[in-house]
Amino acid sequence: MMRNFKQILDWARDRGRKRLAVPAPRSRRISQVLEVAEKNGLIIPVSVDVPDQAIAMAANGEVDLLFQGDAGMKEFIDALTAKGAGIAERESLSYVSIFELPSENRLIMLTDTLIQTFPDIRRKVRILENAIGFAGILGIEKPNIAALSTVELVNFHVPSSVDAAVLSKMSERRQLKGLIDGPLDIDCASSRERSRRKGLESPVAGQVDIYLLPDIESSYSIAEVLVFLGRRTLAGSLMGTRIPVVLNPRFESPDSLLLDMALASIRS
Amino acid sequence: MLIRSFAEAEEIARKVGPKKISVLKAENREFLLALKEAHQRGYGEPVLIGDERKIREIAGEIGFDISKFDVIDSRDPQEIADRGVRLAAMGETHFVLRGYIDGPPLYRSLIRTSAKGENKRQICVVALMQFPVLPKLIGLTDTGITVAPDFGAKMAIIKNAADLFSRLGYESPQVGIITARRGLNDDLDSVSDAIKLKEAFAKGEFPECRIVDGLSLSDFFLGTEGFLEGLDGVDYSRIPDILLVHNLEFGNIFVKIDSIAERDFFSGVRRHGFIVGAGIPTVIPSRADTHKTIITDIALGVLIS
Repeated sequence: MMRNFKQILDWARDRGRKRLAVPAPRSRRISQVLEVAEKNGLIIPVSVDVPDQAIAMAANGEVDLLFQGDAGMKEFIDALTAKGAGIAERESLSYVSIFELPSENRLIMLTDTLIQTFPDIRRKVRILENAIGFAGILGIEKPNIAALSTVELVNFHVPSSVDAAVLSKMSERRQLKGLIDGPLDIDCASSRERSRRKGLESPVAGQVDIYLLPDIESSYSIAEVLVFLGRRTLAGSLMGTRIPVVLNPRFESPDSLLLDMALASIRS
Repeated sequence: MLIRSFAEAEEIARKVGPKKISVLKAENREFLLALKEAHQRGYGEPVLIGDERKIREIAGEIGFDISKFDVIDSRDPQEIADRGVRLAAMGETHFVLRGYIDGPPLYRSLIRTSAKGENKRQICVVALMQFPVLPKLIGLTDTGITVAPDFGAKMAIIKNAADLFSRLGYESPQVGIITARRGLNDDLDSVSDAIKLKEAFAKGEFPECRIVDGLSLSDFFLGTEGFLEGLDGVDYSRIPDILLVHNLEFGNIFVKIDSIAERDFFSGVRRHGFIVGAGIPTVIPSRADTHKTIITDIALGVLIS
């Protein structure tokens, strides 16, 4: 089981260099990221003119990984999900952000921190399947998942609480891998003691591997809160693509992008 | 005087006090311990509302002489809230301290009182947060009442938060509107509301504050186009004083974000809550708080009333 970022980097290095297609870098930042990743034995960069070209190469098996590089986020995702691109369907995409929890020597995931806006229950199932698959790659076989809301009881005014209850039931009936509990607020989810104080016996409280956030307003901004106010390096992975794709969200530093490439390499 | 930390708030409250405090459902050891120390520090004296027998019993156990204070006997949560709020509305107390009472009866009392006043306004919760990494306190709102505030509600929430900050010594507090604008699927209510709020600000709708550029923490810290290079270069003074969140789902997670890593990178985060908008200064400690935390709530109540 991967417990920290160093293990991920080591593992990726052991797997050998992957061919990574990237639209021609325009910024010094991206050029440096590619240089460092190459120096670290993770990749061999293959520079192309436009995203479409990179995608065509990926579809033909000429490269192993795709990188957004300096392409715009919308332009790049549109190209990935264009009909005939063969890389992904838009509905199946989601993003997982990971951070290290040093005191417990383990990794924690948040999702969907970038792609789906206000996912309905069907999309949340997809987001969870993606995240559970990703946890499996990191060696977490049956991840503990908290479906977050603002309340612990189902409240029809709070949509995320209803979704969480359904997902929790689906987990109980083994319609989803992983152990999902919810609705839980972040306080209860992150501490068994606090959840007990509120009279909850949650099987995941205090041992959550994956936090499913209610919507993009909470998930994207919480990722930013972790970065800026928690001063965390977030690694991230775009899920739901046929070949691993590395994105370039604004809140990810060059260190994050290096980890993203390592994660993509592990998945390829 | 501008309050930049909770420690400062505790110091300054000694000079500003004493004030009178409506305590709603006071029969709790931690609250009474806090009130005892607050009294010793000169913050003020309570009007204790709740189960009188229990209040006297606990006060006796902790050696708190309450013979000089008013005690109002009631066990009905709505009556407790109504009486405490009414005392503050009539000027007999300066602020309301939520004791061991649930939120809803208190919200109801405040909304009713606000409806009677001249400036009928939406109420909201402002969480005042201290992050060790930040050079000042920040206010998050609305973190407690409206699940999905619309544009009009957001206007009121901003005004409420600006009013609270002006009471904490901020002359023209900066307001940052947080959205999930990220260059992808940006057709969001949060973004269209933010644009309208900025237009309203440009027309002079918010004389009490300044709405800053940017629509996300990334925007505030990196500018609207920048990418994160590394955390060492982040200028934390760029965080706005007040952060408006789009919905309660985000507000609720943000306000308790330290629980996700309280023994790691979020250790030392502290928070204190206020209900603002009814014209009655109200501080709302969490029921899980210890007396040391509640003392700070009382100090803050002294400062804003």
